[in-house]
Amino acid sequence: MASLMQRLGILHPSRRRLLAWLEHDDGVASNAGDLDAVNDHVEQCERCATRLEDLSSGADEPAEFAEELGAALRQVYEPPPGINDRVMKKIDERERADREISLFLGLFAIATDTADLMLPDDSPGSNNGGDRRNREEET
Amino acid sequence: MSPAEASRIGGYVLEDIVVEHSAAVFRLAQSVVRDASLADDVTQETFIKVWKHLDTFRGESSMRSWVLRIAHNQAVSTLRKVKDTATDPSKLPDVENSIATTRVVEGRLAAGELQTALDELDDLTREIVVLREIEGMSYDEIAETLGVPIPTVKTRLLRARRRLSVSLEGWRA
Repeated sequence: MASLMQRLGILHPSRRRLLAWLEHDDGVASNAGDLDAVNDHVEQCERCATRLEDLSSGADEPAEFAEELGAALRQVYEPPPGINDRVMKKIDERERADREISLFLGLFAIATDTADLMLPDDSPGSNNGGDRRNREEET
Repeated sequence: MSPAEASRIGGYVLEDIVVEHSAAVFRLAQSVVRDASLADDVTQETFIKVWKHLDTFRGESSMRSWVLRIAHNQAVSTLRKVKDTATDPSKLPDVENSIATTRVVEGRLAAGELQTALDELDDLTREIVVLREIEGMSYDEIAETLGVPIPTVKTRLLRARRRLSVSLEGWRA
């Protein structure tokens, strides 16, 4: 029963299983899939995530660890120089391209508007009188 | 002054947003695509989206979370496209060449060593590490930005720290 509840993620893992999950210790886990089951559970369970934090806090991380890690990561993920300029230039280019496209589409609109104005209401291809004429024909 | 530099949308000046968040966007992008050039492209496309949708930003989350969420989606989508189109393995993002592996961190740890440890993490965990350890975001903010539950953020971070601490041992010595 307990095993079924564990598989369903209903039962919270024991301290021993949480420690095994932390250490990736397959030998401590009760079976091959147990670490995966614990993993699935703790990634959704606020209570167990907090318990894991408590279990690991101060165990092997000196106080300056976070600072050291942050500094090292900043070096690894250092942005290249000039990134802001490249981003602004790209936005300018896209803005200009958008304006040109809308201008181009505007020219098409002028042509169709002009045609609508010049063609008589009942001429083929005109949208002005077609619907009205059809309605009149139906009546 | 170019139109983009001058553009003020909904009370926000676009250039201010770029200056404030571009580094974080680049770092997050690089943690996913693992290639500096691709991360640069992702950064640019992210801010194009920010510019186009800035008028829809309602302030329900912080500007940083909103921008980084767009960056996350853009990076994931870019990586998917690269994987879909690159049949030649040599065209996939090259982790070894993306960072100058000879660069030394604080004179004690080669960046390549930490990079290797980071590469062993999955994409989501790397993103969580970057958002927490570099950007200093709270668990709530990270969960909201990446669209994952808070326990996922906590547990992934916990494991990642333990793995990365091994890489930093030489640095402490």
